[in-house]
Amino acid sequence: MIPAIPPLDPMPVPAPIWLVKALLWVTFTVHLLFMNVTLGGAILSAVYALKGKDRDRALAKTLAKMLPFVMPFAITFGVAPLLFVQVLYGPLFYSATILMAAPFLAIIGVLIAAYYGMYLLAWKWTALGRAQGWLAAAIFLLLAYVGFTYTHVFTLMTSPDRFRAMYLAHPDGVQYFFGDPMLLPRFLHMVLGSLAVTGLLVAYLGTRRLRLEPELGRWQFKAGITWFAAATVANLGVGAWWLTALPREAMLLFMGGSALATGAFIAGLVFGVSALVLALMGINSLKPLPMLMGAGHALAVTLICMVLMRDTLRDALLKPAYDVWALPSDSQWVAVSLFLVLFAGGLGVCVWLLKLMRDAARANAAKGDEGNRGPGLTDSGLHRISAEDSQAMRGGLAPESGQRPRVEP
Amino acid sequence: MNYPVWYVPFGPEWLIVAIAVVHVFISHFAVGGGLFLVAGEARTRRHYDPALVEWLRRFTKFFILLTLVMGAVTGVGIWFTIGLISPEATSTLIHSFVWVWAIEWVFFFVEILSIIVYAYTWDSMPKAAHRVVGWIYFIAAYLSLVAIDGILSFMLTPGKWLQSHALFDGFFNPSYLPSLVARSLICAMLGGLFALLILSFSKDRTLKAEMGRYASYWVVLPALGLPPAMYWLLRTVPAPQKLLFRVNPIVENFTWVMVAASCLLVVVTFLFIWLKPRSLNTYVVLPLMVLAFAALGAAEWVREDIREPYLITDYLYINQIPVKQADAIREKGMLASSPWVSEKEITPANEAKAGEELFRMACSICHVPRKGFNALGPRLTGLDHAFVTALVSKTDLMRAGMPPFVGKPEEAAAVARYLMDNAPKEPVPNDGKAVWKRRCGECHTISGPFRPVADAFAGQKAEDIADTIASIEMMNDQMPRWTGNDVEKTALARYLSEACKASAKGGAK
Repeated sequence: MIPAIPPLDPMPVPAPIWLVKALLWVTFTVHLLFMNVTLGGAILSAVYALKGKDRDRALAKTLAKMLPFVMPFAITFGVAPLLFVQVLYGPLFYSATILMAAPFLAIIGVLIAAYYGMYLLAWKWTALGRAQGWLAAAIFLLLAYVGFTYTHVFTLMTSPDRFRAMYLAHPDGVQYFFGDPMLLPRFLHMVLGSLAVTGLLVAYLGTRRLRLEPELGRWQFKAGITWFAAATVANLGVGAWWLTALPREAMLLFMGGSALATGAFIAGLVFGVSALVLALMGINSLKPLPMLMGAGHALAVTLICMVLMRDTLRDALLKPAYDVWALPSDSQWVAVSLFLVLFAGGLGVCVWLLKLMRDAARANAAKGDEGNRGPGLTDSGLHRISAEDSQAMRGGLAPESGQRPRVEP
Repeated sequence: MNYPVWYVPFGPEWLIVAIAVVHVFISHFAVGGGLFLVAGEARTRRHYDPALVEWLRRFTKFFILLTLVMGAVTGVGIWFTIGLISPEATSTLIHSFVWVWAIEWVFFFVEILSIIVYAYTWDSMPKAAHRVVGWIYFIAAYLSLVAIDGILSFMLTPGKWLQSHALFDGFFNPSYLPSLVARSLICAMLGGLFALLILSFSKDRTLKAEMGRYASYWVVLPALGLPPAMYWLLRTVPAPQKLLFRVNPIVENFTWVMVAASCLLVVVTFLFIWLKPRSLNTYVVLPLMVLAFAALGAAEWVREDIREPYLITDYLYINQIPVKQADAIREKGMLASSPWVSEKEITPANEAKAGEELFRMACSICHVPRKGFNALGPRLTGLDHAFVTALVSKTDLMRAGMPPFVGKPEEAAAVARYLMDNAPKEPVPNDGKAVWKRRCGECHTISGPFRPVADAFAGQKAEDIADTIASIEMMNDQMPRWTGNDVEKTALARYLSEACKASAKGGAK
């Protein structure tokens, strides 16, 4: 059957295809990192909060406090690849989302709920008591819904031959399609990847505790490595499942059929296994950081390989119905240049902002050592001065006395 | 036509209302509130006021909870929604302005990081550096407005882009600057309003008195600039769309809501907060927030509706049909042109089913068949199939600013069949005014701005008018044949005779 793919937009792609592709890969890789830490952070926070020992709960708290910081970047760096996907795959992307419009649009409400849940968890940690773990678990489930629905849309997008029948069955967009064998392994691969990346982060944070709390630091380090290793080993299996779930021609691409696909596959495997070996080698080392950093770098390369494999797979599944490299393009070079300059400038500003924040935290920590004030970046950073203090400093009356204040507007 | 149409049983407008209006409300606050924060912090530089600093800190906390979560996620939500409801338009915008969006995205991530750093370093960062971070936030937020305004205003007034398809022609379109000025003023007003909201929860009466008056300046003073900015904006609206302010009831009503709510908002702020800042409390501020939401919601609705019948003026109709493809589709037929229908040939047996599929493609972006906002069924009660078919095939002649129906005659008949099946079957009044409203009022006014009939019928007797109505299709080939019964005809003729006479004397319209 001829797939019903809407015709290409009459306007050409306003940049060379390779540039849009490159930006798609770069921004998606960054999105993956933040998304992994958000999803993995939520589940590990839940697991440790529910375990109940003090050290477990301390780790759960650290992860919970991290969530509202990483979530906005997971979202923002998700927006950019979504933009570039629409440039390159618009007819497929819009159609697939319309077919499952209701669950897709529900992502917005679910994200808002998960996001507020994170602030609740981070800002009201102590007050929540034993509910912490359940709230973290609920956040994980909400995020998993988002991940699952995205996996679904992007899998469906590569099957345009299904579009027409699905639409005619449900023009109201209230549907999923569970019949695709790629769906489950693809989703699990992402979830396990999230656990692995977060495990490595937990291990890294453990090494930072080694100086002041050697025992706890070592425990956390080992726990992180264990999560990383277990998730990575499991992911090798799930990856193999995904590979076998592919249509034969697509699978053969990774077996020598395409240089890029096979290269990315082999490199991903080699670097993934290297990350595993390095992390495990460091587990009993007295100075685990170098090994850990090695594992981290290897994992980053693995992620890049995965992004390339995913992209190659998509293009292969779409052929011959849709050839992204054959799209007409007419570059808006002035705008492209402006974007690249601003992008570099924006990243520069961000680096400077992070440096400012780090300096402030350090200066405050130093001040804290002198004045016993505790670390600079406190729970919410919202240190309060009492209303009475402030009134007194301004020479006004106590605010609740009901008398007319002296300072007139 | 090219894309499947997501059929939302209650009408897609409500999704836009739920997501877009909320986003517009918060995102304008995200800009104006940012300026309020840095301006507030600058006040503490002149005389250090711990209560003010503490309050600003709380305001920042509220600010990130609202803008980072609701603001940012509903922004993505708008994008989801327009992609689902108007994929053709979204694709055009993406292909024309992807780099503008990409640039906006750069400002966006700078915004996010800077506001997080700002919120978390009130205590720990040197004051000067903290102020700089605040300014970085505001500048990035404002630049994101500068970027997105080009795309939003483009849809109403694409200007030279229609010929050149050049990015800068589309971006710096005729309504770009007035729209940016109006939005900037609204940003400042919302910054002040939200400050009032947070202030109203404070128990510190001195602070309320000081900052309440200061925040009321932010609401009242920019509001004085709004009428000229809106007038300037209105001047750039193309003439056919400007007419909608007078003939499209939805545009008319929402314009009134916008104007009335804004005026009330400013007056109440002036009387109850500027003049009496000490009386600032939640009971005053919450209604102000409701008024602001109503005004902005109505403004957004008007902004969407005055583009009718287009999504992108002169380029794409509101129902996703490219203007350039309309003739080709009409020749081939809508069913034959779309892969997203099951019925390809219309037969008496499948007429209603085909009509439903055609309705989904051509009408469902604005209308629902039976009940709800813009429902068609209730308007068609008392009409017959032949007349409704004529109405469907002449949608572009109606006063509401509708796109043309680009189907074949039998496709119009199928849509009419589907609509008639969904119209309530109940007796309708047969007085002249009611007949006028259901049979003539969609395309004519007695003496108003839209195809008035007063001149044609002035001075005629009811019997003569009735004769004219009976053979009305002879007057003009755009007019449908009279298909009503004699009772309706007589009542209508009598009504027209009197109404036109009154109008000639300068009476009823």
